Amino acid sequence: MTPDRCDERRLVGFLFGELDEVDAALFDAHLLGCDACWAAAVEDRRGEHAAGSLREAAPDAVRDRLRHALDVAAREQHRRRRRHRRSAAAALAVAAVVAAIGTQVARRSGRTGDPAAVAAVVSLAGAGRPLAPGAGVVQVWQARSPSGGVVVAESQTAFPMPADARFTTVGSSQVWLARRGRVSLLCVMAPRSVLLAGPVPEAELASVARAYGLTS
Amino acid sequence: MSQRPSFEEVVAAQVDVVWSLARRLTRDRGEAEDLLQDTFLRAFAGFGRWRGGDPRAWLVVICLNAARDTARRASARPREVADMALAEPAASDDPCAETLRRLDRDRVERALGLLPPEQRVTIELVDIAGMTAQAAADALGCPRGTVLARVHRGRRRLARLLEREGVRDDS
Repeated sequence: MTPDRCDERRLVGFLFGELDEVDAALFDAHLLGCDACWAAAVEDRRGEHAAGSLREAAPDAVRDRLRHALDVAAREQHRRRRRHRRSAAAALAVAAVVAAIGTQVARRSGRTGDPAAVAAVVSLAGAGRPLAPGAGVVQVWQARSPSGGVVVAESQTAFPMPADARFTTVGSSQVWLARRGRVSLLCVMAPRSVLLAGPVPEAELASVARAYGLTS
Repeated sequence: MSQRPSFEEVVAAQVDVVWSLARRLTRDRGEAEDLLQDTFLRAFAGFGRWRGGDPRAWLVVICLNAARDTARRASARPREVADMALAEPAASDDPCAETLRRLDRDRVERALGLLPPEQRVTIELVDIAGMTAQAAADALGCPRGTVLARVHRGRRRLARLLEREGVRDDS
């Protein structure tokens, strides 16, 4: 009998322990009487052993070098995070000043309209109106939330904070919250400006932001 | 709620696996060291996005991608260093046994290099890196049955090549 006639697939199944108990016993019996299959099985095991001989433990010096490289990377990552937290705090302070100025300007001028980018996202989330070009939004996608769909909009420049928005934190990320009719708004301010909007409770927006890894 | 394991906890047991693979994917020990380091630094940087699962398969795929990127970069620039065969420090107290071991190892490496690429790569993933057939199939983008067949045929061819070279199997 040749290996072809003996069925290579069954032989492979046998060698990799893929056959069920009955089939394995049958093939085992066949193997004892078939020189071709027996030779194929022996070659398989020899080849496996030879290939396995190329496995080697990493030398201590290599492990030390790797440990050092990872240590440096971890320190660098820690430094970057600290810098990022500092710049987020600075951005928060700037945003607070801008918001305060905006409130004063709005009061003085009697204008309470939202910044264009925010208004566009509210229209999209509340009434399904498509975003107008020039709204400053570079990417929009939809996230799921228990009470309904949530629009997630990303912008290269920070979404301006409406005058009546309030600051809070989600995890360690600074966010601002606002409400427009039945639409809740939550804007993650850093590392990138992401505005979530939808006819859902504010708490759900915070959960969505966390679930999609938008907050740190 | 179970806590996510640390990077060290996830990768600690995989250093030897990645090292063995890196040795196969590079020409010398220096390049293998660079590839090992590149692999773990990439893994460290991407650990936040890792969704769990088999850490070995995750690292092996990163290692393969890193090796591919390095090869691409290398082909785009002239060779900077002569391909010198540097003596590696002996890993054994018995220099004679160590030399024989290395000779056999060199023969196995040469024979493995003579296999068709798809058989060689599959053997590197399954028999040397210790990936499961399914993980190797995912990494190579082919059915699991194809992986098993390639490993089997590659092993047989390897055994025959070594027999021709006179390498004894001590198993």
